[in-house]
Amino acid sequence: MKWHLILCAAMLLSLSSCKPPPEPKVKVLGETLVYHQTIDGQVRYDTVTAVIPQFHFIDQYGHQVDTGTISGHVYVVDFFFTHCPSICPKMKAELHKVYEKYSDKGVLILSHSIDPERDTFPALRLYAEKLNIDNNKWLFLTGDHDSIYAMADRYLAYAKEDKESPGGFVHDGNFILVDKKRHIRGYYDGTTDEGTEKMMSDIELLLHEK
Amino acid sequence: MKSKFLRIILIVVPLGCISFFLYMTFFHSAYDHPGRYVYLDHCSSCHGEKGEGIQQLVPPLADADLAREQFDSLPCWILAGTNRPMIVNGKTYDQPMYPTAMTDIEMTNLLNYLASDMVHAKRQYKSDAVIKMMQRCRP
Ligand code: HEC
Repeated sequence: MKWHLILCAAMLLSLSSCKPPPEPKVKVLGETLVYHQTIDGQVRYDTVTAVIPQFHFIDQYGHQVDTGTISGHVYVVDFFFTHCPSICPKMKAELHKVYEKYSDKGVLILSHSIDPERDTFPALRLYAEKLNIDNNKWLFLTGDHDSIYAMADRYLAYAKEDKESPGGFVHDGNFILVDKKRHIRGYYDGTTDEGTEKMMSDIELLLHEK
Repeated sequence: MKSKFLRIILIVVPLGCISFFLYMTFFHSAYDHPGRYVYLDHCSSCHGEKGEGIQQLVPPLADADLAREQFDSLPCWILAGTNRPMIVNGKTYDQPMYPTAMTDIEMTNLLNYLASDMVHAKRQYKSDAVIKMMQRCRP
C-alpha cells in the first residue's frame, strides 16, 4: 500500500515536470510589408504580413464573389483553364478529394480561370457540373483579364498567356492555402497525392485557429 | 547425411517456387508491363492511375465498354484527339481530349497494356499491325 502511494506520487511528479509537446503550427507566408511611422521624432519600421486584398470576381453561377464571401473561411486557391491539356485535370481530381473531405467543415475552394475569353461563367458552370459540383463550396471564378492576373501575382502564383504552350496558357501546379484572416499559409504540389495529403493535414490545423 | 541434404532441397525448392509465383502474380505483373510507363507518362494525369477517370469530366478506362468495343480506334483517338460527346459505361462525357504524340513502339506497348490490364479487351498487337493502324489515322 505504502509503495503504491510512493509510486503514484512519483508518477504524478514526472508527469507535471513533463512539458506538453509543442503545438504543431503552420507558418504564415506571403509578402512582408514594412510600414514606417514617426513617433516622438523617431522613425519606426514595423513589418506586417500582407493579407489578400479586396477582390471582385464572378462565379460559375454569374454571382459576384468578393472578400466577404470568404471572410472567416479557410480556403484553397488554384489557377487553371478549362481547355487545359496537361496538369489541370489531375489538379481537379486532387481538389475533389479536398472538397469531399472538407466542404462540410467550412473550407472553400476558389479555382481561378486564367482564360476569361473562353471560360465565361456558363462555360465554368458546365465544367463544374462535370465535376459534380452544384453548390457554393467550390467556386470557379472569372473576371476581367487584368484583375485575374493581378490576383495571381498577389497569391505569388505563376500564370501567363503563352501562344507556344499547349492550350495557350501556362501556370504552376500549386494549391495555395489561405487562413481565416486571409494570410497565405502554404503552397502544395497539386499534381501529386503527397502534396494534397500535406495540405489536408495543414487544413486540419488551420480549422482550429480562431 | 545424404538424405538430410535431399530433404533440405525438397523443402527449399518448392518454397522458392511458390514465393516466386506469389511475387510475380501480386507485385510484378501489372506494374512491370512496359506499357504501364507509357500510360503513366501520357494518360494517368487525366484518366487516373488505375484508369478510374475524373467525375464526369474524364471517362474511365478501367473496364470501359466504349474502349473495349472500339479498341482498334484507340491509336487514332490518342494521336488525333477527340472532341465529341461519348457514352462510357452509361454516362455521357463531353470534354476535349488533346492529341498525344508517341512512337509506334510506345503505342504497341500501351495498347497491349490497356488490353490486358485495364480495358480488358481480348487483343494483343505486334508492332507491324500498330504501325499500319497509326498510318491510317494520320491526316
Ligand atoms: C487532357 C486529359 C487527357 C489525357 C492526357 C488523355 N485523355 Fe483520354 N480522354 C480524355 C477526355 C476528356 C475524354 C473524353 C473525350 C470526348 O468527350 O471527346 C477521353 C476519352 C478517351 C477514350 C474514350 C473513352 C473511354 O473512356 O473509353 C479513350 C480510350 C482514351 N481517352 C484513352 C486515352 C489514352 C490511352 C491516353 C494516353 C495516351 C489518354 N486517353 C490521355 C482526357 C484525356
